[in-house]
Amino acid sequence: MLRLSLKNLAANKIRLGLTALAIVLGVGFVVSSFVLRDGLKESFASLSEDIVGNTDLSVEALNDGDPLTATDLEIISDTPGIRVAVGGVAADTNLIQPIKRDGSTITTQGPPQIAFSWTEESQLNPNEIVDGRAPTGPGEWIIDIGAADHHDFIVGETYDLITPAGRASAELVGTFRFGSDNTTNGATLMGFELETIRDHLLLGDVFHAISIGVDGSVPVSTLELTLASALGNPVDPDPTDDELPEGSRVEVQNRADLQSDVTGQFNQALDIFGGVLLAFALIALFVSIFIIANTFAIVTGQRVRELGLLRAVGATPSQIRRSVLIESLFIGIVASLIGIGVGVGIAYGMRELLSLLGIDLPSFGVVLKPFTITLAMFVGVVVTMLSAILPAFKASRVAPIAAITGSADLESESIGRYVVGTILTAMGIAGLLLALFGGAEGVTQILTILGVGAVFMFIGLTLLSSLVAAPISRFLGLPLGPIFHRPGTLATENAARNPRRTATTAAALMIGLSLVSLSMVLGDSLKSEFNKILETSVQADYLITSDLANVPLEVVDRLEEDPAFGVVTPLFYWDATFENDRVDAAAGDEASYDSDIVALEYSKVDGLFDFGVTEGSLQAITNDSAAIRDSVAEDLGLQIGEPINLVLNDGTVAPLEVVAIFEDTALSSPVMISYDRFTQISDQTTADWIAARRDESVSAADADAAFAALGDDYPNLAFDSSASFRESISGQIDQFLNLLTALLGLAILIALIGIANTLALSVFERTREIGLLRAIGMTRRQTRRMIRWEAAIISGVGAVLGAAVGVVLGIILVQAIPDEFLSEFSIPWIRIILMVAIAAIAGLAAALFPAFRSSRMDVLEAISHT
Amino acid sequence: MDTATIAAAGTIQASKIYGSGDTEVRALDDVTVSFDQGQLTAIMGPSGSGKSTLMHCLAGLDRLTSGHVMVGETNISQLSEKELTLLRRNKIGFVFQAFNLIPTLTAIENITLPLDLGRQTPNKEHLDEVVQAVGLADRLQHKPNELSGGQQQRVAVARALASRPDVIFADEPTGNLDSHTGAEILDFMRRAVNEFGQTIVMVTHDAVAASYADRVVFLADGRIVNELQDPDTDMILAALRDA
Repeated sequence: MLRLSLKNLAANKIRLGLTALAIVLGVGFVVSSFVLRDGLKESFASLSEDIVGNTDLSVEALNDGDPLTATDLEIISDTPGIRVAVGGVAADTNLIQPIKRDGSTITTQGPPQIAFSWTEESQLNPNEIVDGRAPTGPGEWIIDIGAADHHDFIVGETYDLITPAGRASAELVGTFRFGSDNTTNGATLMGFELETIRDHLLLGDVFHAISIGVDGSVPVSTLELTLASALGNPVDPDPTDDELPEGSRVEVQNRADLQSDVTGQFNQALDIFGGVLLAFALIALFVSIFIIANTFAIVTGQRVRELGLLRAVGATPSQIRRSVLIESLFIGIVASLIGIGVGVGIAYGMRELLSLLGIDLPSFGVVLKPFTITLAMFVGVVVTMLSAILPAFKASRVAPIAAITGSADLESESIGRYVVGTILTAMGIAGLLLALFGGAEGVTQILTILGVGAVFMFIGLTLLSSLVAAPISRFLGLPLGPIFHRPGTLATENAARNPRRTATTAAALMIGLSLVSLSMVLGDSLKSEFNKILETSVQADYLITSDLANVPLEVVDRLEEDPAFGVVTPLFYWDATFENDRVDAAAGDEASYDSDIVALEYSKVDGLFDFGVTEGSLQAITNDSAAIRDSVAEDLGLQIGEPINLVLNDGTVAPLEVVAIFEDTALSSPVMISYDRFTQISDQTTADWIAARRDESVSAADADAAFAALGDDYPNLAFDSSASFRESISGQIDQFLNLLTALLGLAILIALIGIANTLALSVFERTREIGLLRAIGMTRRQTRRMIRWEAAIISGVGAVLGAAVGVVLGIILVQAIPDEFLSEFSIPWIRIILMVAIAAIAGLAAALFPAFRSSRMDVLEAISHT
Repeated sequence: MDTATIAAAGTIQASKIYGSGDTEVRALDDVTVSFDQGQLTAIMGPSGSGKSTLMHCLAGLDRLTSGHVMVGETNISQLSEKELTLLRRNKIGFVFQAFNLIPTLTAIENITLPLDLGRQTPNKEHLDEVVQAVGLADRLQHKPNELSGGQQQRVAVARALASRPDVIFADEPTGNLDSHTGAEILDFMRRAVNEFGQTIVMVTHDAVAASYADRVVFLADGRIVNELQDPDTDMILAALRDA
């Protein structure tokens, strides 16, 4: 039987190729997500080593501890065993942005822009001057050679920088190389003299970190403990564990700690990225399973006659099954191996795709871990064999004579299919509802139930969809008759003649497009939510926002100085902790809880925002009072005049009297406090955004012009009118939707290949029929048209089902999201109809090859085909 | 009959050679034959005699190695693929041994299929006559799988007649049928010749089927070796024995 299986494989190259293609792609996408993640991990690991360089020890103040000062530096320098210690300051990502020669800033959506204080102490500085010299004072800066080259910064020229302190001019006095070969992975690195960068960042006499080089006379491990206690940490009861003792002020780390710390930060980001990629790869795999299973069902069906002959000459049913399974095993192994290779290619292709979408990934080497290979082989082989089992069983049960006469039909309809389909769909939807509305705890649990529910639902829907495949096909094919006459109606009837095959083929597309239309519904609902908020809550004429950077307060001053603008206020957001004064232990209340807070100048609220104040007044907020959202008031049973306890940096608690209760859920955080109080808990020196209103005495055109002129000075910020702000938010949502669609494009691509696959097999199956049509006068062109439009209809069926499922899921999801985040619901019908149309056109394109083949058939051979 | 002298189709020095050198097979060897209008002609011969090749070449399904094929006034040897297709659609009718019908189309849709492909409106009167003659008026809306084998062949013949082609080629049209049903189909084809003046060329190895013909042409080794006019079964069997 083994030899027979192998001969079979060799004899049907096209069928073999088409089956293998589906597996290759499914495996390839899974492999690519791992190759991408592991490759990036390796590239970041070597980056971490470069960043830490030869620093022996590093000291950082803990978040709620006092910052490091010159005194601390002195203590460290005076400690025996220390050769050198340098205090440094680094700006958070994109806080300092240089303006390029063309007047624009480097995009904040790409790799980060990092500024830091430059030290001449080479052991503690992983960078080396290449050109020019180091910065020595105000008005000087240096940049890494990669960024200088890429963004066209020239040594000796003067550039403007946008900093938290405002716009400043500085001469580029040199360039430097990071590590041995400046592998910054696209990041922009900038060096400043210490005092200069402190001024830019509005920092006092503090250090973010102190880097240390030892002289070797005292063991590093001893120094770690000595320094910790010298800088104010309590004695560590167990120095061997990683835990810092309670009440610690600083963290002292050696080189290994630093490296793993940096690597850990990268890996954390990568794991999220890798997880997202894997999720999409799994969707792609899930879709390919449909294609693989469908292909096996069709191919085995086509071989029924041959298998029947084997039965007639004495093969037992189990031998038949084994023969089919051995074939699938071989296909699975070979296709998985190819899939691994293809996966590596896809990983690199994905990098290019993401860079087209504005997400730049660093370069990476091919890392194929044993785990990846094992998983790929497992997925490829198991999925293939599982796909082959059912058709193998059916084939082995066919009576030999029925098989030989060709009267057996493996793809016949059965009631069982619909019973199973209904049960699976119901279970799947129940799972979705449980995950969204039930008491599931934690993101992982919710996502797991959601994922399993979705898998059940899609399998169930696929089984059920053969009920509607024929009517939908005929409906979609309605225009084809009048347009293409008989070839058009033949295409329609061909799509409708085998509803199960059409349904399974279309299912792959249904899954991909249901996720696309789901995100469209969600995106459109978000848009209308934002529009509603902006219409009802924002009366400001102008908004200044920043994407991943912050807005210097200098901009507020300049707006206020300008007579064109009447009212101006910055808004600040921060995570704060509150102590719950009304602990109800029986109800399991937490003693403390975290909440976003917002601060702004409340005297200027009128005419800019409407927070929907229901009780009290925002203007009453002082340093000792706060406003809270009505839902918070309800949860905590708080009323006007009662205190809510804010936890300050030093751990003490400040009771704030509730002076106002508001409804707004969009602009504000649950708690609003005064700006002065805000500065006590936050080290933020820049605003999150700024709102302004035109002065009544100035014409709109003049104010617009003044606003635009100001915007020219800050190319890194978005200066929007309320209308353009609305558009830019819509644009951002659209951009996110495009990214999602591009990632789902993988699944859609596989689905289209599946359609091409099914069509190729159907054409093969209908060779004689096509031969007859050609003999009695169907032209090649009419033949191609007939096949192509059949594919378009199958795509259309998938798209219609996908849109329907996606809209229903969208309705469920929007309902599940709490109203304070999303209360609006909107379906983008035009986009969805467009999606269906595009899917049909893509189906036309997918069938180009099968259509070409069908039209080139030798009519005589086709007619005598058995 | 005057019309009997006008050829509906024919070949001039037609040769069809497969392979070359030692493996060369002459399926047709310098065959010149013509089929008169309004006649039912049977082509007979043993397996490998070239009768199917002759018919395929006449019908524009296969091309000659040398020589010419005439359908009506047209020398089809010089036609392009597209012109051949249109010729098959408009000037030629086909009846195959089996699988004559498109399973997704009803009987009447199958009958009008060549016309539909050319977007021609069927001549109502003629179509009614054909449908009448085929005797399936009550089954026209049925799909092929709801028809018996004999009914399916009758639909196939009706389809061939519907476009009023210059010539109908029938390849073993009764090969898959029992003798009673086969006789029905042959009767029907005979009537088509008699009543509509249709030209039919039929390949068969069945002497009874051939006896319905006005003329029988015998092929052997790619050559015409004999022919009979208005034969009966005995004459044909005798000719086959002699060949």
